[in-house]
Amino acid sequence: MEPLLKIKDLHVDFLSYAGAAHALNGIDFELFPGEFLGLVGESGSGKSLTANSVLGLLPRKNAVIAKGSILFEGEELVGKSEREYQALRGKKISMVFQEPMNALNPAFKIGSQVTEILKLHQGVTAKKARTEAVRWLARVRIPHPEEIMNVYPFELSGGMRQRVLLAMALSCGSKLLLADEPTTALDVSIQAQILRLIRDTTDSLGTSVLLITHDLAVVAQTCQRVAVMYSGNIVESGPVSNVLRLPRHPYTKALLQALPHLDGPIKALQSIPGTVPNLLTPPSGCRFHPRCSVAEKRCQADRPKLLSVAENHYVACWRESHHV
Amino acid sequence: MNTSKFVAKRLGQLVLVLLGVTLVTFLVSHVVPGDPARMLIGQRADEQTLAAMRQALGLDKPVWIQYLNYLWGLIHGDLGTSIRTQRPVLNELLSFFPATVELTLFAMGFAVSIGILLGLLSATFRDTLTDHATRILAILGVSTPLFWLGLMALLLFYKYLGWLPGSGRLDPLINPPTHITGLYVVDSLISGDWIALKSSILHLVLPSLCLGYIQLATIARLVRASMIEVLELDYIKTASANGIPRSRIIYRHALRNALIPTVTIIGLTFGELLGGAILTETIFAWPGMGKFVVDSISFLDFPAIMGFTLVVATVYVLINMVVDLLYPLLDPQIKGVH
Ligand SMILES: Nc1ncnc2c1ncn2[C@@H]1O[C@H](COP(=O)(O)OP(=O)(O)OP(=O)(O)O)[C@@H](O)[C@H]1O
Ligand code: SF4
Ligand SMILES: [Mg+2]
Repeated sequence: MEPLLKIKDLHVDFLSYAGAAHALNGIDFELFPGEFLGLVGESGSGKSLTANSVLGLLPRKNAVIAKGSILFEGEELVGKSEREYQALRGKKISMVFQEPMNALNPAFKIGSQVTEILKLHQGVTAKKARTEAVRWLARVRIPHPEEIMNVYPFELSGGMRQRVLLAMALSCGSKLLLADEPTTALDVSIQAQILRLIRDTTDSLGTSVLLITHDLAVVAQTCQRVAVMYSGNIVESGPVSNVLRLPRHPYTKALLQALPHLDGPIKALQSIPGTVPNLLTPPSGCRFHPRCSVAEKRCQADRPKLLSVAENHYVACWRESHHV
Repeated sequence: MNTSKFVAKRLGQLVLVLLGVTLVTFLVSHVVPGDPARMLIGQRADEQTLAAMRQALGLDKPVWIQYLNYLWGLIHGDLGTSIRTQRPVLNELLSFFPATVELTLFAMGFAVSIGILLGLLSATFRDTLTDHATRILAILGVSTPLFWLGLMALLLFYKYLGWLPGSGRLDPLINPPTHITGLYVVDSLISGDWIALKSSILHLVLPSLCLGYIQLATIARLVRASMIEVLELDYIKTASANGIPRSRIIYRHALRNALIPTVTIIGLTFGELLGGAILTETIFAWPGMGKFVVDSISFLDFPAIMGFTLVVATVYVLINMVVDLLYPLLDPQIKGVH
């Protein structure tokens, strides 16, 4: 099967007076139609950056794609103009963000914000857009959708707003949903609800999802495959069952050891000794080597490539036998 | 609180404000040296005439009686009699009021429209030449004294270039339009008097641009700052991610929110414009309340000065009330407040 999204050797730099920070240092992954892929990693590892690169939403004044390619439905996205990106955003590729509290415009009613997108992308009349919008609000299980059309965002709870944002993201037939920690800012009690909603809705629409999260338990429950990021690299990727049960990369292993039970409550990824590297002066070779308990000599010198260790399972580590 | 309750409360506050204003102006007028009766009848009049004049003006009674008399008059719509012109202050003010309103409205319209436009340009093309030029213009605006600006404008556009008239509201050879609102532009439009319309607009250009320029600078700076702030917010990112074009994001999603703080400033600005009008009217010989009050000050015409102060305070409070009423239209979140 052809991948829907194929990212190859993606490098993103932040330019500053102090030099270029290689925030994404050669990312490789693929996402297939209808697939639910988890992207995990510590804070600052480059998860949001990856999603923003796909949608062309990098800060224009200091971020550049230095190298690499992003293929969406076989079409190169790197180098597209703002206008070309606009035609993709919300229509082919959508995004929902972590913070639903401020993600809706406080000055406009929900109805006006949902219909705006429908009118823009589908060129439908105001009346048609309204019925469509109500239908979408109902689809994300918002009770009394007609009434919700007429309220302002501040009148809704965080969970309700995230539902509205999800409806907006999916309403124009996007094939890919980039969900950047969509439940992190929500009340624990509704996180699972929203995740299930994302899962069910995208399942029935056949939308692929890139789910960014800190939470390995979430990955275990919702994703088919997972990619683990460390300091601008993908260090391991593969089917959830393999990666979480039989992790191969020392970083993934450490993450899992830091977690008491996979199905337990949310656990941050920070309990690994050492700190996330400074991107201006990253460690040479494998960026994980200062924190790695099994590092060898060549780990400092050369960077390991992401290579296959089993069916669909990739690892970037010199300790993996295939690297010998 | 509903709207009518809010208005009632504000009007109640207005009464208190006006009471305070009368008290202060009244006290000030009685500690300032100078004798209006003497001013009126001249230095050479004898003591007897002076005493008679003082009695006629009510100046012989104790101060607090004078104050109560004044308040009593106010309640009945009587602002006293101008010492200088010997006509009721209310009539005087009413005859000068439209000229000032016209000047202030034009200055305001200029400041608000161009100020918002410049602020918007500046924020959209942040750190480009457009931005720098706009900001320099704005900095000049807040740091240029009005009288200097007025005189320079007069010199350049009236004296040297001769492009624009420099004094009054109309060409002296033209009859004023039929009195309807007292605003020449409006009246001449209504009555179809195109000659008066053209002349009154030309006469408005220099004074209203000078008067508005300073406020324009304030508004442009504020709009720029709040646009920049708003453009960083999450919902702007949502709009981008949903494919809404940048131009639409700027004028619909961002501007709407950036204007909220601006509206408050526009209310306050109006007060400053009224203050600035005094100076502007003097420079451009504009026959408005400002010119009237300056003439009254040099004559120690306290009833006139106090009447003017009351009118300005009333307009100021009312304008800010209107602004507060408009606020919820822009910012739905404070709908609950009133
Ligand atoms: N606007 C920016 N300017 C400079 N550097 C940035 C900027 N945005 C991100 N970075 C850098 O890029 C790196 C990756 O950031 P990113 O936001 O993708 O992390 P993340 O994995 O999403 O983390 P989190 O879990 O905290 O959301 C960070 O270490 C940060 O230093
Ligand atoms: S390459 Fe070396 S340092 Fe990096 S994870 Fe593997 S063993 Fe550790
Ligand atoms: Mg992030």
